[in-house]
Amino acid sequence: MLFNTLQYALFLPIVFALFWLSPQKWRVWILLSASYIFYMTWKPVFILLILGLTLVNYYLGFAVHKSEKHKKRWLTLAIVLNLGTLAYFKYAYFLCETTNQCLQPFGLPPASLPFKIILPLGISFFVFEFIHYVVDVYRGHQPIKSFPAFALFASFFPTQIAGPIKRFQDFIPQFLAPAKLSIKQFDTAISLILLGLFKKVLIADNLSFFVQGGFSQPQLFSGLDLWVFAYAFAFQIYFDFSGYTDIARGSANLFGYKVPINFNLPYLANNISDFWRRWHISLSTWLRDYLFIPLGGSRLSKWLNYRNLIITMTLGGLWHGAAMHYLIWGLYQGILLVAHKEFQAFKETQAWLKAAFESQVGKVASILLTFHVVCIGWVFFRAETNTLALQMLSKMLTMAPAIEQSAGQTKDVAMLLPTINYPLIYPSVFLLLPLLALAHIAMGYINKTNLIERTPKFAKIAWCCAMIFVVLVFSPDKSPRFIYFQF
Amino acid sequence: MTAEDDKPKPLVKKLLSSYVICAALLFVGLEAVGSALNTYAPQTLALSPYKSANRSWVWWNVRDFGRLTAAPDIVLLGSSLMMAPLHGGDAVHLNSAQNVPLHHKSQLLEDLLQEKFNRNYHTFAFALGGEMVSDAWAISDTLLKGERKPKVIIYGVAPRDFMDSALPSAASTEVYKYMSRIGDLSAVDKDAYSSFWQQGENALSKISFTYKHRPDFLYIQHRWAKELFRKLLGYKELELVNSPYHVRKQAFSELPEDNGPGSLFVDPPGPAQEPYEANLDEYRFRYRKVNLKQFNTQLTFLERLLVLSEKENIRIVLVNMPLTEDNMGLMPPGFYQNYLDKVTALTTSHKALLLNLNDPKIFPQKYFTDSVHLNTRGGEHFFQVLADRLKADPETAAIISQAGVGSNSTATTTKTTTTMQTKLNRAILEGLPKSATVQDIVKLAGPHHSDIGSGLHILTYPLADGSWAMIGSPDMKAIMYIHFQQSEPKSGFEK
Repeated sequence: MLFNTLQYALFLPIVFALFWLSPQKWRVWILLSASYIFYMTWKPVFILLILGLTLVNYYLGFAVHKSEKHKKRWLTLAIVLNLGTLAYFKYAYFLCETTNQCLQPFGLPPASLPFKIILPLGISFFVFEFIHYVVDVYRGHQPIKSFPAFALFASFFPTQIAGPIKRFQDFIPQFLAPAKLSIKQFDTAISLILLGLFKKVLIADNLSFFVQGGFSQPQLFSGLDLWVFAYAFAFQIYFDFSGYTDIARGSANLFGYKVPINFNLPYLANNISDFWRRWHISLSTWLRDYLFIPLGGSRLSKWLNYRNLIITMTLGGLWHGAAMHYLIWGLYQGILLVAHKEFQAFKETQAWLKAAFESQVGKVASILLTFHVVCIGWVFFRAETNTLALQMLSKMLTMAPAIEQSAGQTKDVAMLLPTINYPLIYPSVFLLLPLLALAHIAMGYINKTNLIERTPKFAKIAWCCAMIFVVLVFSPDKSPRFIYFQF
Repeated sequence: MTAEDDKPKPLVKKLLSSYVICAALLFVGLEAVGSALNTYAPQTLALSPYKSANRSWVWWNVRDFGRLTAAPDIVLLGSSLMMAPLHGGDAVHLNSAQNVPLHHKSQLLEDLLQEKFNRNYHTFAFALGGEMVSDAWAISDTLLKGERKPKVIIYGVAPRDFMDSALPSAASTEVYKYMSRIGDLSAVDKDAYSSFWQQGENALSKISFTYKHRPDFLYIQHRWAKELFRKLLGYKELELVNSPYHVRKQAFSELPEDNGPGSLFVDPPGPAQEPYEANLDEYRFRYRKVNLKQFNTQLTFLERLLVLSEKENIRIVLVNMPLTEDNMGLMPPGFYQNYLDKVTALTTSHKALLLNLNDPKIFPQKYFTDSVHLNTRGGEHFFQVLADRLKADPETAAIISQAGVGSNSTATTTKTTTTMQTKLNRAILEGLPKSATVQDIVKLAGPHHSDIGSGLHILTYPLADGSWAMIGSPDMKAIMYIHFQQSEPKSGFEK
């Protein structure tokens, strides 16, 4: 069930009404049942997977907590079980293909899996939540006693499919305390849902048409055109995922629960480290707490610290999908973080450089530079193969013209920029992308000045009314799935 | 709901303190106003499907059908399999390019029947790309009744019209969506909307004014956007025919179906054999799995069409359209025979005529432009065979011989030529530079003879040799295309 469908538009109010009309003691059960129904609308059989993992982790949590001697052994078992499940469903094909590629030079026959594996929705998210749970119990936190509360923690429908990745210490107390909902909270929740739908159906879905055109056939476009496609994808993925997160947060708020934010205006980051503090925050903090720190974090020598950064980001890249281009994207992020650390150290030794970067011009330049290196990363992320990504990047970095071959003749053609006799979204992008960039800056100002709080009620009413209209009109029959659903 | 507000307030006051609830109430109010305006003052909002900002293929047909002064004698129904011979056949017969959005009749069939029955006939074609049986029924049920009913319906069918994996339900085609906006098809909602959720969406469109008029708002927004980009960036209407394939593909996925009056022409054949394109991948996808539910649903629509024809006293002739053996080979085993058996049984039980023209001896591969569509010569051949078969069936021949008007009547539709004194010729127009504008042509040849466009301008100019030029322009400045034809171009059904 997608958030931008009629199914969800009926499902959410029904659950909302049942939840608030029921006595407190039933509410967790109602949400749990709703969450399982939500999951089963995709493929009912996979309810067994989420239920099985919930049961196993629930009991392993107690085993880790109670055991004196074999604490670490229970923890290892829990991690192996969770990661093993993830590896089986998500990486079996990838491992098989990679093995075949390695064996090919030796003339060995390619291996193939004797059965078809379907990737269960949301597995990457709930497996990470289970790992966080058992590791934190190992670190001394009290395990969750209530099974329904624990089951709901992992299956809570607003965050079930694509996060944000929750922490049980924040979430469980909210379940156990009596739920409350004020008018203000209700307004915020619905506004968030409408805003999320607006981001998804109006911005991300429309940009997806444009992006698809460029990334599927980069050979047809010039280097400059490909930069525009990369910018467009940067905004598409941001509005798609942050739109999803807004709907998830709004839906959770309707039940009186708060889930963490995932984005904080990431394209206003002034360096790559700052970017990762603003982008997919729940994943980057998870990677920090459960991968980077256990590897030794930054307490070790400089080179080991760098090694840990690269391992963390590379595995983080692979988490997004079982494909080499995600791995390369993660590796690229790791290298950028290392480069940034080196540059920071160098900058500290050069007073003039430090002063230049701290000036207003320097700050704007840093934001622009960060945005562009992030866009280069998005090329690896979005391109279907590394070959296509490299083809695009080489054209982008050399500003190569597009080449058109017809009737044995080759001619240079800059396909996109000077030729606007194209489908509508092509010329629209030249207005849309600058507007989205300005909206990013405006949101920074609005957040800083708390402008939303001070907005008069009539303006909020008009805004909401317009959102309802936009969502009804633009909710397409064939809206693409949220990008992060595939992870 | 447990409120946290400091002072206890009456429930209504408390609810009205929510700006979201106020917005929802305002929205409901605006919906009521919109609905009332659309009912009592329809010109205010201009959301009528007849004046839609979006001009899909079916929109052009319905517009021109509405302009008819009398019911046609024969209506042609079918998918692109019928469209191809219709336009191709006339392109050969009239030796002129056929303007697809405006060409809704078969001059060739009219002339062939005139020869055989010595009477003049009016035909009208509702042959539309992707038309399913449910679409053919929707068109018939909405338009081909009462005063507008024809004497004969010739409906070209093929297995794809009954089962297409590319379609989730009968109601998902552009034709069905459009017809459901101008007619009341609610009696068959259960069959047309295959899932509970589709039925839910249909119900919502009946309740909500905004949701019901969603396509209008979308198209209006597209028009505004195009106009804005035309002014700001010089955006020109996409020339679909001559655009690179990847751009066309992009346009089809992105833009709503919106055709200008000169967006597609079918040219007469040249001396060389027409090229053949094996479009087997497309049909492999369409036939990939047997969807019996869809197939049976479409059969019920065929039965509805047959019942409707009986009730309206319309002779219905089903034509099993020619296909290549390559295409037949892609169908799941047994599917074609089952399709033919079921269609035969239905036509027999409703005393309709079934003409099976799917015969490689009659239509060998040289008549095809791809695995399913006839080329222009194939189109000409198709109507020749069809006219012979119609004449050969006594019952149909009797009906056709009573239809139309006697050939001595002045109300003929035969080709007319207009001769005018002009120095303008094809060579001059073909020699114009790419940067030439409409003003340049006006300087050369004076003002245009007529503007047959709707939305886009199509300016007609008579040429010195008696033929005509059509100049397409989005803004009376830039020239999108120049086409030539032998007879005087007319808009819509005037043609």
